Amino acid sequence: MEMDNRHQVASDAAHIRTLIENWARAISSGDWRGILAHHSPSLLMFDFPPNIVRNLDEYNKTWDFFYESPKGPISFVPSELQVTAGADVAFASCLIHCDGTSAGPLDLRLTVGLRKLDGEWIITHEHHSVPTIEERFLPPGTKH
Amino acid sequence: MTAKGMGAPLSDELEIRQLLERWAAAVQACDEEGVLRDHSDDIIMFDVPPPEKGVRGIQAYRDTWPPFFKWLRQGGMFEIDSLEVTAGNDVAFAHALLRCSTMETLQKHPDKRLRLTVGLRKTDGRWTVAHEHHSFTQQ
Repeated sequence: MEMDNRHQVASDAAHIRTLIENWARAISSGDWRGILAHHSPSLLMFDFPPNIVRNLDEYNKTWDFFYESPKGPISFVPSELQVTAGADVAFASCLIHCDGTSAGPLDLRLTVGLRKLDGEWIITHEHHSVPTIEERFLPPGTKH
Repeated sequence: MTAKGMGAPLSDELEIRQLLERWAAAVQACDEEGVLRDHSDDIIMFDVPPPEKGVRGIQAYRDTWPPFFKWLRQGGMFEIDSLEVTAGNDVAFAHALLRCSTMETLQKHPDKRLRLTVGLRKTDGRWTVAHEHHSFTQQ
């Protein structure tokens, strides 16, 4: 039983890894259906900006800017992807290198939260950010 | 989003909620041991400031706090405003909005929030934080 659980968890983690890699590939190729294929209708996304995005319609619109006035081929490539999967809840973190959009090259940090519903893994949360330097967080005397 | 709704014991959701509330209170109190207590050795933290690729391991995580405590002691606040937990039996995540500002900044920008996502694992019956992602809403 213990062994079966471990196999299941390993297989869920591999499945989620593929799901995230395929989602990133869908973004790179402008495949709208692929981008939205495994997302919850009530998803909550911490984006930058417009900051906090609730539900799939709003989420869908956030990708518009990606394909408006591109500077070159769009790429959205994850690295250092770490997946932690349980029986019905999972989270993943990775770095993303994004290029080709009107925003120019960008390195993001991404965290994804997932739930398994009716046997299928669904993304219910995404948190995208870039680091920000706020003066008040710097140790005294730090040059910036 | 409740654990009850997904058939997991309610106590896991409550336990995680209390863990995160205790952690935030320890941050506000500049209590380093309290901040580290429920964190795993292999934690990955995406902090507000660089490094861009994240802070990896408990020692590096520990090192991020002293400069932040210095700012808190000068009048900063670190308070959970809203928190949602999604808990399974052995893996969970949570997202929260926090007031992380001085009173002066909050008066100018009342909607400014720190956005926090946390990933947790249950090991030997105990929930531990394995991942944190912090970033600010933009003005």
